Amino acid sequence: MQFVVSGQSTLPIYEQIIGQVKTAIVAGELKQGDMLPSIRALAKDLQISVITTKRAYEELEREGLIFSVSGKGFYVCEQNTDLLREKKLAMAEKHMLDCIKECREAGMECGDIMEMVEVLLDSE
Amino acid sequence: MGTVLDVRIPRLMREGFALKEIEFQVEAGYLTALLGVNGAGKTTLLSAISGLIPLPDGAEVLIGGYSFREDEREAKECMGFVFDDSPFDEGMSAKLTGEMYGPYYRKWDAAKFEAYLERFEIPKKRALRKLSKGMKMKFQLAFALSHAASFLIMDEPAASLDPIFRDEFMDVLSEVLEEECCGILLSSQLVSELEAKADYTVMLHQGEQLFYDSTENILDRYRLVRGRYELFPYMKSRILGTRLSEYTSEGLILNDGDPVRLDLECVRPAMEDIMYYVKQGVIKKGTVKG
Amino acid sequence: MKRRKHFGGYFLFLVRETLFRIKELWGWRGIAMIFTIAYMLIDTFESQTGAEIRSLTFQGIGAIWMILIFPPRMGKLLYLLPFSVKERMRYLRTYSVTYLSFFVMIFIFLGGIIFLISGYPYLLWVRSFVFCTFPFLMLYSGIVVKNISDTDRRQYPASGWFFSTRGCWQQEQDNVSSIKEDCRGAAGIAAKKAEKTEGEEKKEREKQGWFMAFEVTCSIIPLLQCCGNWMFTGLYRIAPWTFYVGGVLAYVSAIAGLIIYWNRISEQLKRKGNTGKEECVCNL
Repeated sequence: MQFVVSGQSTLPIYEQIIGQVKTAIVAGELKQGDMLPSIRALAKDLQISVITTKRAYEELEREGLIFSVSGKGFYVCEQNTDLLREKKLAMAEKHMLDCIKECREAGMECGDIMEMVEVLLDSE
Repeated sequence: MGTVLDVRIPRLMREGFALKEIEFQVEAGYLTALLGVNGAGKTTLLSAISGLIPLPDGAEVLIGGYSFREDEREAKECMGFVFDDSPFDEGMSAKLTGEMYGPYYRKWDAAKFEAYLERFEIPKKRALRKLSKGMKMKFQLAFALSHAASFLIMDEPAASLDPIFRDEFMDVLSEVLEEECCGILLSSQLVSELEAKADYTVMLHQGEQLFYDSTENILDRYRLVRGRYELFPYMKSRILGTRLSEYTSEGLILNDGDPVRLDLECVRPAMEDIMYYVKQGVIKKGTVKG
Repeated sequence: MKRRKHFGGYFLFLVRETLFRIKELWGWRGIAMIFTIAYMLIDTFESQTGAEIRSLTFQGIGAIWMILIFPPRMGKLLYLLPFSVKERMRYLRTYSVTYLSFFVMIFIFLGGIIFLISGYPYLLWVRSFVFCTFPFLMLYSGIVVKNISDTDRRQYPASGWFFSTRGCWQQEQDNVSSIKEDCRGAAGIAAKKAEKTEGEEKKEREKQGWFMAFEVTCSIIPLLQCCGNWMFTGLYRIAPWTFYVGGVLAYVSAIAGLIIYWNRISEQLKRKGNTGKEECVCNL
């Protein structure tokens, strides 16, 4: 798995890492039992502090997404597929809300929005 | 490996400048950044830690567990240094410097030194004064890494380096830290570059230590609010300091979990922002614990 | 007329460039050194009769400038490198002694040149120079040759300067203790051996240290006595025998020193780098 972190983003780096791991799990890129890079190796590679990566991993562990085996490393937990789907739906809903907000700001009516959605779905 | 440096300086006067109540540690495998505006006392503090200026009574510096007062030699055996103005004789070549001064260290490894010189592509037989600034820095680093030092002290090592050299320099430091047998204390003005990499930060201001904590904790303590200035009075009691310009307003608040108005952007500050407010005098010693 | 002006200009240009180059290489000290030596030489040429006295003062000045260039100064490093306070004092003492030795050597050397130029009877000068400085030069070259041929040095490279400041006996102690450290995990045979020899080696080193001090002192006496009679005229007038006794002592100790060095050098060349480390079977 490849990580991309930016110091310029408004999100703190540890949150970026958490977000990327979550996305990877949801997308199926990280499967159950996959090993994540060690705290030190990830810190060295991304040129960030060890405390940051440790924090990200601890947070992920707290949320039940990964677990640690002492002396070995961090592994991805068995994911509940329903839970995953729920999460994906929640993400989609959030994106839609943002989208609707933008459309409203552009001055679109409900009908205009639906039209746009249909056009985009057709061209997919 | 534990604590490689333990500093306790209640008071140090030097040429009209005073350091007060400095107390922090450096752990092996971690990078501790020493930050502060110009004149905050960073160089004085580093000179005291490296032994260039004498310690007053009551002050204590322990390197690798050895005290400066009792086992000065042992303490300095554990220390490697990289300074912006190199203390080495500029007339000697890199190889000669290694031969002359290396053996004073018990664990000097000449082969390792040569290997580093080759890796950093430092010409071995050219006089130091003929090397570029970046080369001189790398040379000092090669020297510092060749005697199994457990503590590295650096005063603005990357100040005169171009961005490519800076990257290479930080790469080597990362390698050293990965082995977890060495702790680094580094003072730098390149705050934004160092922010992601520094595990711990010590902030000095006017000779006093404002805080010493992990970088994550420090940045978590505060939030920046940005938005239209007219909305600020709603948060007047919470705002510690402001930065105003013609088109944007910014305020610093403590991150105590209380919500902020939705039309104000609330973000985590960068270390540069913290430094700005420190200079304003808004962040005082009492406001932060740790 | 034009040509002369042209050459004059070119000459000035050369002089300016040379001075700049010297300043780049050796700094202001280099330029000062050049000027001092030039002054000394010119002065010597001018005053044939007073050459002996006046040139001696300028020898001193010139020597001081040359010394400022040679021995390496530590400056801040004295506080950054691992020295205890005692060692720092010892370093400074050794530095001053070496400084002084250099000073005296250069003094003699320049004095010889100036005597030659001033027309002082050559043979007289040769006699005093050679007889007085020879033991010292023998000893010094013995030390240099020993350092160069020291095979241990290749495994533990150190300069003569290091030996004089930290002391060879300290380094040997470090060597032995580092062997001990390395073999802690191994069968311990080599470690026990190192322990046994550590005491012996220490005694041996101390003896050598004392002998070396004796040699150097003996060689310095005639050196100082002849490097400028105005330094020791008092002593010489009262007891001229001190000059001869000093000379004899110097020669005897220098010859003894050379014999010892020769033995040590040939011993090392036969040993070929076996310092006992090869017997240790542990990984670092």
